[in-house]
Amino acid sequence: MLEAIGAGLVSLATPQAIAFMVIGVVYGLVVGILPGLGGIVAIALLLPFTYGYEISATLALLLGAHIATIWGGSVTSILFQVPGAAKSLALVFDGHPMTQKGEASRALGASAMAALLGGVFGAIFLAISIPIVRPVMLALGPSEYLMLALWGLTIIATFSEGSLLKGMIATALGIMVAFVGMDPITGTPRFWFGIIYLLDGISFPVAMIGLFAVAEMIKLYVKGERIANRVAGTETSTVLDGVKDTLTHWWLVVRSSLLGLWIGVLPGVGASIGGIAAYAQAVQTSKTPERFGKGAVEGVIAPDATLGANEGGGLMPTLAFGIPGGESMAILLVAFLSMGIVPGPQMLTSGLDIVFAMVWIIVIANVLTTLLGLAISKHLARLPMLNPNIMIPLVLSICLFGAFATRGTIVDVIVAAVFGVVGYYMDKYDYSRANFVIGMVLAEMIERNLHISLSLYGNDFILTRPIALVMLIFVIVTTALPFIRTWRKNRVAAEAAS
Amino acid sequence: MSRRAQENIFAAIVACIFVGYLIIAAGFGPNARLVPLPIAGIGLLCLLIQVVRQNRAGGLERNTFGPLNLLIGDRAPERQQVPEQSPEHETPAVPETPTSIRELKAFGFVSLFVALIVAFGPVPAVFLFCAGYLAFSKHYPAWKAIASAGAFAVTVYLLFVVGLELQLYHGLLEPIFDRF
Amino acid sequence: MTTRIASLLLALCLASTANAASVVGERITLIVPNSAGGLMARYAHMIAPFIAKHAQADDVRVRIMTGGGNIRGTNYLWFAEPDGTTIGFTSIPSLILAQLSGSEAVQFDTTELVYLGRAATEPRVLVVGTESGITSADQLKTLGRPFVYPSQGTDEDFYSMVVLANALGMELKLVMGYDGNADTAMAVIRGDGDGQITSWRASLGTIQAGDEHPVITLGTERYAPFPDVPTATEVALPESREAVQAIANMLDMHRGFFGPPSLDGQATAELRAAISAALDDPELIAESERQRLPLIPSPGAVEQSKIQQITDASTVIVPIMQAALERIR
Repeated sequence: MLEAIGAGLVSLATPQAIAFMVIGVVYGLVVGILPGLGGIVAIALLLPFTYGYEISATLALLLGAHIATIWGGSVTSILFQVPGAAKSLALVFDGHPMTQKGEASRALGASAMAALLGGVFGAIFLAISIPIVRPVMLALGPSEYLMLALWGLTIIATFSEGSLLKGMIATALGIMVAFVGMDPITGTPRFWFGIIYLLDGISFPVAMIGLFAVAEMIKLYVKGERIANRVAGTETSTVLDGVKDTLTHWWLVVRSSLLGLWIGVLPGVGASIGGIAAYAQAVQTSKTPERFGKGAVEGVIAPDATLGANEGGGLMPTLAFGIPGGESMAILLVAFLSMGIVPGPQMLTSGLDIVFAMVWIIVIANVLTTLLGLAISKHLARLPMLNPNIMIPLVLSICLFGAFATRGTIVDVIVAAVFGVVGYYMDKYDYSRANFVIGMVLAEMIERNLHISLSLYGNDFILTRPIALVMLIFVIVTTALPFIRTWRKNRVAAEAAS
Repeated sequence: MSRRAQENIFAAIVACIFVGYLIIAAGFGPNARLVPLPIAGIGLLCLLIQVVRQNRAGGLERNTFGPLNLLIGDRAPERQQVPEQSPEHETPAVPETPTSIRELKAFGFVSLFVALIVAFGPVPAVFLFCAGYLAFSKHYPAWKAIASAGAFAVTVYLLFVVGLELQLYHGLLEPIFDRF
Repeated sequence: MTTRIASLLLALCLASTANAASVVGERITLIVPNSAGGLMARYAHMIAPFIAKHAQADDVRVRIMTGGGNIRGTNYLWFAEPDGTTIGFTSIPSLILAQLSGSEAVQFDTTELVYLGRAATEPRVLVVGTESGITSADQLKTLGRPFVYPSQGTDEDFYSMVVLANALGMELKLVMGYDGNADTAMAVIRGDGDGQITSWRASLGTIQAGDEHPVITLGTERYAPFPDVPTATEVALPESREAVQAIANMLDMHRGFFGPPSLDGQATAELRAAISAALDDPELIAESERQRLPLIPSPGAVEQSKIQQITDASTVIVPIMQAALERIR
């Protein structure tokens, strides 16, 4: 194994591989920062350029670009509330409030560092856990995925500032929007009103762009002043603060990385749940959960560490079973096959040096992304402080262009604008937009896995699937715990007062 | 309009969505409605309780659901201490008109931008909108507004269309583009 | 003077109507009703310039027109001028199935579209998991219990499986809701499902690993690297052969070019010839290797004849499909 680790690193020490890695990372950062485009677009566009190069160089280019897009997505979530893709959603929750408090540099620093550590831990855990990956993947199924989605749903309480009722209403609306379009389970066209566009459903990035970015620009204009809290509290932090934060919360990073790795390993559990689950875990293990949603740095660290580790995990089904774990992995698989790499269990024995080359690529690409990221963070952090008169046209342009770019349909631009108005009013009347999008992301996963569980294991599936049952109990306990804690605290305070 | 009336109008619109959704979902087969139906039902129930609560005295400030209020503990009061959200909270009488007019203006320019995109395609629309916004907000003099909007539109074009091979939509200009 | 202008105009009109049927020198729009970054769009962008070259057209412009699976773009094409300047490229089986399953959004009739040639196809296969205990196609007929099929939705594989099960006389339990090939593959390996339909390429890894085992090829002929695996038509009960053959034909059409109904005869001939020539162009073949988009061409006339066979069998297939849809809804 040690030999393979060394061989993997040596294969990357060619000028071609190094150059490709740098190109991939820079390219990935740019794609990631543009709203509406994600890692899949990056890889798909690069694929034709990789013909005839070294295997390790090709992998460095494709994987490097893919990894860099993730942090790129975090940047826009933190600065402008525009997640580049669904998986960067959780960065909006605390990252953007940090920006509003004038801590954009700190948030970006923490985010980049967490992604790096997550990537590195993920890669290390990946190497260690190779022998147990297969049994774990076989032990977890749809019922367990369902519980994972329910766990993600529990964080809606965090965002239900003052009104859990309004929070639940917002979540219900989000779930309902996710059901527009052709139902993948029954083939029933739902809520499409005879409009063919709606058969494909509402695109998640488009809704996000509208709900957050467009709504924010409307709000900025209505307020008629500079983004008050942003400029009043001018940048008070440095990138280094964020790096330190991440190192201080090392245990959170380790936990989040493990979570991210395993979410990546399981096919059928998307990365979008990863960020949300990491966030939920950070809230539920925090001694001060009430700080979340208002700019707690842990709320940035946890999801970024998870996303960093997720990539390593995503390689596992591809390598261990020859099953691409996601769309981007499917494109990588095409590249593998054309390079003569046949994925499958033999990859974990005879092909181990390629596996480790990939592990190294993940590590190095993460380091590169972080170095680049830390270098540009200081400049990026100034963006939200632009005069609104410049900010509004520029951000609106990029966002509506991004909405168009997601599927190349002009209707998406109109939908983004409509969601902008909806988002504005939701914000005005305290119906949490975060809850809306959480509902939207988790709806499909809940519906799919509920149907599969009922169909395979019957109506009492929860009793016949012990792991799922344990997970359900865990979900209930972790959800109730902070509430019980507060209730106790209140009672103690009341007793002391009387 | 008072904050309460505004919230009631918003709630009424949301209620219509829930009810419409329930009616449509009820027409699906048992599997297709398995999740949507209860979700819309729960949403509607929450909304009804919320409407009742927000219309009781003091309901807007502490609009938490009683038993759940206990669960969220000290979060609700904290919300009150941070009145940064909307100015109407503090002085509901005076600045209401300007806000609603500004809202209308904001919706207006967003709609205008969308209309420009539909009519001329994204890149020309970005140029027209940015130039117009920068000029009319008097942030830049006209020549500078046009120059910077032009530079920005070119950057957007290079990034998305040249760099990322996005296929453009040319709107009403399509026939003209087709000539080339 | 006026008469001279009038006669000149008349001559011009006549000349233009006489030429209207030809695509030579024209600008052709290639409608791709699929997503912008997807495989279908990549194929279209790759092939389009070569069609222009061989049809001596001015240009072939790819126009992505996403919506409703691939219904919106095809609806658009259905109403396009049948002069050869607007043609389409998409997954033909999904068009046929959208129509056969009675989708409300469909305005086109696939039997009236004009087929211009196939660019590529990917043979599909029914693989079963080791946990299922099934090893051969014959065993499926005498399973004595429902065959559990994890499905990703009402796609080509779903309908193929439904028709195949009917043709083998086996009971089918459809488990809907899986998300992508990885999800169904894991279900089969885990033993939650008995088997799945995938492309041969997607299952190669799991087959080589011994986790899955191919039992039936859904193509029109056996798959060369696995000559022992029978085709669906070979194993089907005699009365269902036609239905299974129709499904095999349909899947075989895969990535194809097509034109609007009553497409002009000359334009059809020119386009079919140009598409065939383009797909044989060594330069395109080299490009397809570079982009990793394999080509398996088939001439337009051959594809057209498959449609007839599918239409003939549709009276048998449609009720089977409708019954399956009823069951899952």
